Amino acid sequence: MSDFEEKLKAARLAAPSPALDRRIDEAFAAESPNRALTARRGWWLAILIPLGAATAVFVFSNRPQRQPLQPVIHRFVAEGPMRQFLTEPPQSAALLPHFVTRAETP
Amino acid sequence: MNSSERESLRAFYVEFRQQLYTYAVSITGSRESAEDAIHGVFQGLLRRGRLPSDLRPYLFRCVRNAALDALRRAGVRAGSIFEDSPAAAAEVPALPAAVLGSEIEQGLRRLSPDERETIILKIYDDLTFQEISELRQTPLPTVASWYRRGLDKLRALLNPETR
Repeated sequence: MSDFEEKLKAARLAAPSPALDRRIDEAFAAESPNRALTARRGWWLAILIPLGAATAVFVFSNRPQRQPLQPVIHRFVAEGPMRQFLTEPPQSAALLPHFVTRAETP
Repeated sequence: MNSSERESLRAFYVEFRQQLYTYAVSITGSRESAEDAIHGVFQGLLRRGRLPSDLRPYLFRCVRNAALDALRRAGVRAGSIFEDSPAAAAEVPALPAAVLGSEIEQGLRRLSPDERETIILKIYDDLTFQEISELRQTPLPTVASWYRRGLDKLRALLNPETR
């Protein structure tokens, strides 16, 4: 470096203000590892939650359709004079009326 | 960004804050805008995550781009890279044949932007011609030519032999 360059270099430079140092400190503090980790976790959650919801919607929307439940009607039909057997029950079991039970849907 | 990269960036700021500031003020002409540009660069780097292996040319280029953006927004201003407080001016005459910052500033303003920027990067920021060439993405002989031509002009303007 020549004498002239040395003279130029000897001039005193303006220094950055303490406010800049403080702002830089704050920037580093704001992006600390814990904050960064939280932010990364937030990104993962932001990706995974909608993905999970979309998967659930997809799975449930593609389930086979089940038939809606229908009432079952049990119809008891007495073949013979029912009233008589109720009011005057026979002594012998062999004389009991024969019931036919059918379960059916309408 | 992992903790070692953060530490590297932090150490870089501590070591080169003065050089980055001088460079940014020389472009923006405003100390406030220069500080905003530097702050914005570091904030952006912290958020971005990954750093290049060679930080020095990269960060100077980032600060240059941010300072040029600030200059485009705010226009040309006349802030000095030199300390111009009365106390500083009183100290300078203690150096024999030293040149006052304000005089250098006036001389620098009469150079072309390329010459001025190269002189500031070489003398006040201690960058090599190779680093300036990479930073400006300009061939090294061109950078060396800007420097020598600017220095000759500045010498003639300041005329230090008569001091």
